[in-house]
Amino acid sequence: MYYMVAAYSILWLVLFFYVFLLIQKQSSISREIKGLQQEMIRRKLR
Amino acid sequence: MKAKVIVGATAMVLIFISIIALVFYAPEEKTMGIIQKIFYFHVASAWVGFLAFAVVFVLSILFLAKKKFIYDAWAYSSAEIGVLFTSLVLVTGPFWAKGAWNIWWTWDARLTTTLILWLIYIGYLLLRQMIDSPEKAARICAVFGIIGFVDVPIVYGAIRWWRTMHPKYVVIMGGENSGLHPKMLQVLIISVIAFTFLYLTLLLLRVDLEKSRQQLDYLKSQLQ
Repeated sequence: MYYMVAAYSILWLVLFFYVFLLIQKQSSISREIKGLQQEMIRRKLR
Repeated sequence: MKAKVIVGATAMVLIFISIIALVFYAPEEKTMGIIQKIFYFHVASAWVGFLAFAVVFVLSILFLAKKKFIYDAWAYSSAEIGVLFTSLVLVTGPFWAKGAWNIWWTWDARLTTTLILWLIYIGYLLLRQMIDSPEKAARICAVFGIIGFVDVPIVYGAIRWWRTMHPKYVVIMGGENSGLHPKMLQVLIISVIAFTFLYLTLLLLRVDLEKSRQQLDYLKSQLQ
């Protein structure tokens, strides 16, 4: 019983952590892209 | 976006159904008891690992043939998810082994070839990080991804070709009297379908990330 609970707990924790990392990384890259796009517009305006 | 939501929602519903089914519907195995229930998500994870590496194999060939970086982005994303699910196979398997065999690990043909498969694709991911030029990394990893796939049929056939402790086939090539109760088979099929949808959801999310990363690299090169 304990082994089954442990195995499934690790499985779901790892999967949730992976999804969390994907979402976090995506939002940080999106922020960076937005910043660079604004920088490009600023340079063009100058 | 819509496709991601539909596939993701389907995955969540199917996973919920498979959890309920394996707890309340699947019968308890006579000799191993409740520990046998690890099997449903262990096999489903192994299936997704194989599927992910098969996708890497096909997309690597397409990348080498057509030189389009979108194929490389899909192959890289699939390799990462394949490593994730093979890691889960290597983690859940020993818990089952400890309950059933009273050992965590043995250098059995199926277990060893699975570990080698995992190491091959860990090498694939490391190679990506180590090569600076994206074109060169994509080309070398495509070759690596094609050669690495050779281990997948070896992992699958290991329990037929060598004498192993690992349980024999129960679904495909299992033959008559393979020992799987019809209710167990139904739960296994639901779990495999649920994990396939989970793989598709993760793949769509991961490919989006890869595309954003490529866009970021492009913008950085424009600003320099």
